[in-house]
Amino acid sequence: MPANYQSISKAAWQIRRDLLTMIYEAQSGHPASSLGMTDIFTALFIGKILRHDPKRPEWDKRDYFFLSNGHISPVFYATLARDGYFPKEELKTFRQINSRLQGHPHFTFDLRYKVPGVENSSGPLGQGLSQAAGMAVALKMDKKKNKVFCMMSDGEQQEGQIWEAYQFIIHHQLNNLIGIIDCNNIQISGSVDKTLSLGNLKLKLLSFGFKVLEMNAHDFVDIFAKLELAKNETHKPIMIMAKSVPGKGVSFMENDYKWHGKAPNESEYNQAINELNLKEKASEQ
Amino acid sequence: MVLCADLSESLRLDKFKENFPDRFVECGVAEQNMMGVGAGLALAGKIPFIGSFAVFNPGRNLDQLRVATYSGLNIKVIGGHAGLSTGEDGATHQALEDIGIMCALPKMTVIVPADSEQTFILTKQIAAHNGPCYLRLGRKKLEAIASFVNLSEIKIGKAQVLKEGKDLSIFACGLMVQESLKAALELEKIGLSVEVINLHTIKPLDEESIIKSVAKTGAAIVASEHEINSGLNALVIQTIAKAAGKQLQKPIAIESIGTDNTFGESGKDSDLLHKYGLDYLGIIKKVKLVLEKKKKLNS
Repeated sequence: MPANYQSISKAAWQIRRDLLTMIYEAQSGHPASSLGMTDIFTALFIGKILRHDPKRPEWDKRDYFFLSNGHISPVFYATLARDGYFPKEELKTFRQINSRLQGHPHFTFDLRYKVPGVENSSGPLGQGLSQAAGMAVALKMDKKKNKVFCMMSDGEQQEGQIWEAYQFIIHHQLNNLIGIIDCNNIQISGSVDKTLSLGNLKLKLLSFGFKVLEMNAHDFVDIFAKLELAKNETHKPIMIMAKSVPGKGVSFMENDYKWHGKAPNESEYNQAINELNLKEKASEQ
Repeated sequence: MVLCADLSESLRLDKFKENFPDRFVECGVAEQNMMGVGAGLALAGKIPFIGSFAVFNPGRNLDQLRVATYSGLNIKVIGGHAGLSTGEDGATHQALEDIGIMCALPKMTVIVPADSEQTFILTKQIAAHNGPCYLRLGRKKLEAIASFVNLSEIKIGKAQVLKEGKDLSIFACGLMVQESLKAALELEKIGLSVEVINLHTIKPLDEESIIKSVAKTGAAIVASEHEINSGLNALVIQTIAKAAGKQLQKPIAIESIGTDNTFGESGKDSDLLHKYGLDYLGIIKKVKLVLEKKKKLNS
């Protein structure tokens, strides 16, 4: 681990603990993909890949982050809280009644109820990319330089709307948009390959006209390099295929689709936290 | 801004496209993405008018619209070619459930203008209204309401009383407003005094005006180019039922005009409207029925 990524890596292990605690306390939520995307979320927010300021969530020069696969809200909320968007205490209210932290993120313009940092409502798969495209069109219209990031999942690529959006993004040459696809090959019922194969996703994206980058979602050197490359691209719209391990960091959750949307019981939770503590310590070496 | 799914000519958006090319976004035949793009534009503070045929918009992109509405986005959904009067294209293209669908969405404003003048005025009003709106339009050329009666002001959320009467009330929207006025003028010849109310705003519904009218007349006909089990018909009847024993002391006789648990079919617009009882002749038939009911209730 290069020294300059040590604090980022440490933060990622803490976020993993936070998000598992949220899911455990709510006894509801989606651990596998949340754990799998934690390193990327940490790089985007705490690693400041996104131009943003937690103290000014409405800053008009910020980059926009649209979450499309809203079920990974645990990693989103846990990252936002650790980055200072709102107090960490509030994570306890995840999925509880009268909370801002809905199971799937809720956007509202009403600042009394808005979760700082959340830019769109999401959950029903396939929608976030179109919303991000709309934002990208608006930014171009207004000659603004902000970038729009959109996080999707691989199972989500089964939705027809995603492919409508790909056509639209290329047709309108929205080169201010950066898509990230979590390629973890799981969905609720099993592997993506067995449920409804995507075929050669990379070739499909290339044939649409995207610049495609492949990324190891657990290697900070690669994550930062690819995200910086994507940010500096001025020619083509970009799709990043982020190869991740679902359940990353918790041995019994890794690569097991059954942890897509299941909360751990007490002993599972304790074991998971122990493992994450050890990983955090190891990252300090 | 205007977004369209390859129907700019049918929806008469060509002039907008010509005059404001920078504010027109062609989305191609991809209505789900179009609604999502509209949501993104609204998140950026734009006011997107999202247009297609009502069967697709909100028919095909309801989930995308639902999420946008949940976010309270300032989007305007324009459902064109709604209803039986779409004509020859047949049932696949004749939205008869769209008003019901849209009224079921929390916070949605639902507008059905009755002629081109009202469409012009109400389009400007929904642009100025902050929140999600649905504007339902038809394909058929319609006579101006002003050719029947002197017009009172039209305003979102306020029922427009086009003609006062004391024997029965007709509540209508869209092209059923003209047919209701024709029927009322015919019935006047045989001495019946018919009140005609244009409920151009179906949500939020002007319940007060409905109750006030039926309290006076004791009988109501609800007429819409739509399924009667949802939309205007269901909502007016619900309004009257809820007022019973409170603002309404007497039972009210009611008859409905609209399609009843059926899809449409191909045909000339006027032939279809006649076949399904959605013209002034159909209204006159129902008037006889409703007045018989009223008599029984009052005896």
